[in-house]
Amino acid sequence: MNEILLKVENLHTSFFSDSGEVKAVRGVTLSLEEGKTLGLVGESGCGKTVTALSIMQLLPNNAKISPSSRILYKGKDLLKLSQEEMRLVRGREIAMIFQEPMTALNPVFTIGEQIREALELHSNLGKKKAMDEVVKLLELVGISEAQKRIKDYPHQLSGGMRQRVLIAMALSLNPSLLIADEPTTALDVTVQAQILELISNLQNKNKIAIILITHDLGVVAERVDFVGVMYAGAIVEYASTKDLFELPLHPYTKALLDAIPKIGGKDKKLNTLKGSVPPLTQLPKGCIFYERCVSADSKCIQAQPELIEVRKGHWAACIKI
Amino acid sequence: MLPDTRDVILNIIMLNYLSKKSFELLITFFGITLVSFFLINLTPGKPTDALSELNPKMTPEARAILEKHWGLDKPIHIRYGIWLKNVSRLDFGNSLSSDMRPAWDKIREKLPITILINSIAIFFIFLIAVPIGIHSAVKANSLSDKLTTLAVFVGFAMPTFWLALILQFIFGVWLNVLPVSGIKSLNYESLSLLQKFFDSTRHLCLPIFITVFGSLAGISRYMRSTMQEALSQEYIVTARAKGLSESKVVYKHALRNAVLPVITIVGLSIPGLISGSVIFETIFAIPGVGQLLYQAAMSRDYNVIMAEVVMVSVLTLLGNLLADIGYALADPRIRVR
Amino acid sequence: MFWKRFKKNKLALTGAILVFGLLVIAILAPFVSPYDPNIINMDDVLQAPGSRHILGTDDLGRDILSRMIYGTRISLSVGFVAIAIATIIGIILGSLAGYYGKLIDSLIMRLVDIMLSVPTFFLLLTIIAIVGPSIWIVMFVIGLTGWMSIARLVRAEFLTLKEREFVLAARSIGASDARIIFKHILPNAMSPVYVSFILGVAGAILMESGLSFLGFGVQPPTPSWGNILTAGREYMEVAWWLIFFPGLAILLTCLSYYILGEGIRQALDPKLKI
Repeated sequence: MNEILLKVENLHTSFFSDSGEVKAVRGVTLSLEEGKTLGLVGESGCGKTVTALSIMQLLPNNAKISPSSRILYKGKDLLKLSQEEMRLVRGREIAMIFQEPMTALNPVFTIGEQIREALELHSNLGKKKAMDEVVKLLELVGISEAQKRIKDYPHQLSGGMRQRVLIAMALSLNPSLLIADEPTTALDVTVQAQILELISNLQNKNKIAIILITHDLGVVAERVDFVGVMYAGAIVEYASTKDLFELPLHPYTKALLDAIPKIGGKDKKLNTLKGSVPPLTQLPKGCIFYERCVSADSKCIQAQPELIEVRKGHWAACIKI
Repeated sequence: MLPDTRDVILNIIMLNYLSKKSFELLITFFGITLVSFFLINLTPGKPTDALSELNPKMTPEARAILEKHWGLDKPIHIRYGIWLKNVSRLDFGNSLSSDMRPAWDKIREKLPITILINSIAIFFIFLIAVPIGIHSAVKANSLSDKLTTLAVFVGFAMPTFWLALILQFIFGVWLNVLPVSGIKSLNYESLSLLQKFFDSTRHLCLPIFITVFGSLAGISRYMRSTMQEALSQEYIVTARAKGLSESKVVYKHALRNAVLPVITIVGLSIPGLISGSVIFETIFAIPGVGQLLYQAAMSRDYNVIMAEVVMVSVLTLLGNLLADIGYALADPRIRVR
Repeated sequence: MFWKRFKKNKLALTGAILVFGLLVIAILAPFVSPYDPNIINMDDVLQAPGSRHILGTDDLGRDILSRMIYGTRISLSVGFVAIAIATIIGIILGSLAGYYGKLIDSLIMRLVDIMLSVPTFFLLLTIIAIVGPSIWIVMFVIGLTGWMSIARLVRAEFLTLKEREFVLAARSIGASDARIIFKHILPNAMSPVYVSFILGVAGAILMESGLSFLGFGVQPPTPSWGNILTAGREYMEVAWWLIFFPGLAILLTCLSYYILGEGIRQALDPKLKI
């Protein structure tokens, strides 16, 4: 039986600026078992990345996590840790890879140095041994001629290569949880599949739990165990991948699924969602999806719908179900 | 052992980069002399004016002879050509002042003290400004950052010549602990080596302080903005995400990127530093090139002035070249392309 | 939006009030100064600050406060006129470089590089020494040697703005280059210029006072903060007020301008780099 590795309860994260409070994440609750994969799906700006950064506690200075939120990792509340303790969690337990491999690596250090530095944090290898380890890691993520490549600077590598370097860096920490924030968005289509494949393989080998953040439901379909669909800072539907694709409940999820092109599908045209996410500074009293929802009626504007368990293990936040 | 081919290629790229830079600087040098020569020579008024004003016996005929002797009767572009040819042989003509010595000799003997003061000043400017900039960037918008910002503005707004006078007054007149003019005491020659050193230090500390103060605000402000820029980059989030300590994130990952642009400032700050020298060398009676320029300008000593302009330009361009080399060595994106 | 943010910024408001106050003092100089600035009174030589002369008197018995009030006029007008000249040159060259690009751009930018490497202060001193010092020459040469940063800012704005849709639209209906530059792009490129102008005034005031201090600026008996200082230098040991107050006035004036400039910068766009 797998144990719960991460449990996020009622996470609220807001940004504060001149123009007021932006409620980027509003009451996100999710849990993840050891070695499993959770997909977080939604449009850009829906709070996926902020959720990830909240877990890592790497938010910018103008962001605040509400005191009622809890982020339990192996039973310990990360929000109660000191900065130094949290730093150790980041170094040894939870790793993260980012959307833009172009900017996520420091341009003035060699990639070997940047990986070695991470490695050094949790092992007392000598410099020479550490470098051997770096070469092994690079080979592991499929970089050929690794011995030569460690002397390269980030700008000398292609986008896909850099993402591999970032993955190697994350792996060097030997984490139990890996948060991958749109790891393939900035890459060519052919490279995307390779990188996702690499992540899956490494997961199976090392028993890592993964949170895979993406805006592309197609990516999620084959590779994750559970899916959380986010809209405007909240989770609107949560289910196993199978359930979600077979019987999507929330109108937003349906709209997202409609937007995926299907091979051999009869549909002549793809349905794209009209409109955009309302500003997160002034939230409506009722359902936040109201404006864009095809099945909305007057009841929807009276109160915000709660996330309820509609079927076993399948949650949705919509009063019409 | 054979050299690694990669290193060889690297050196070739580096050489290419530097020769291209040097060529650009040479063009700039001609531009500077051209602009300066024409501006100074096209301004109404002639070197002979100064002489005739002071000397009532100077007849128009004598003046014409003198002008012919100095080549002032020729059209300006020909004069520029002649001047440039002479300059390439380090011949800037003779000073028009009463001693009539070669302009270059006059500058050469006054250059060391100015360079000494400014080099020490640059050292201290970086020593002080870089930590201030880092601190206010890391603690951006905190109380200490706001106070630093205010102090920086006071630094910008400070008329340094006034500060120099005030310090002269406080330390020289009121407390009477520091000498207020010159670079050595009257009994300098009779002092031991150590005493000589202390004597010079006492004479130079006010001028150096003023020079440092004059540039501190600008450089620390610049350091703050490049540091803030670096800290907002994504690779900083990556560095934190892998659990690096905050000091490693700031002093290794951010700083290395942030000081790169600051290196280039050295070259650009040379004209400003030497302009400052004109003022403080005059105030503290220091026999450097700044004071020489002041005197040359007062007496419209064209040859010395142009020699000074060339000297400062060469220093500026050398500074730029050094900064470029430093930048290229420090930034792999230029070093390895 | 601009006013809302500007009003919130206490430092900037302080700067604005001080700048405005100085402007009023400069305009109303004859009414606010207690004495005629040029009246020599040998009975009142080198009086320390007191009830009759708030900031004391100089070696000719002239009232320092009155001379400084008239000096405000000189400093502010030199500051404004010099920077107006620099701004006009900078806008024209920056627009041309940014709009036309290619050869024109590289020529102008090369000129900017050259001017930044020229020891301008040397040239300033020299030209003034040749022509003879006067307030007009000072304004003119400060303007002539101070346009480079504005040209760079305007050029940068033009480079991004000229690709914008409204410019392409104007071009497609056949608007002339001059019309596009001055009517369509320039008004949108002015934000950094305003800030640069305010900061430039302070720079020019400092420059003028430095030149006047060296005797290359405004000539006595016309009072300027710089030349009051020079005159006072001889009597520094017995009359500290002769050098203390004029310098303080320069410092505070420039500080007001810098604070105001920073406030405008923050209110226009916190990310604006000047």
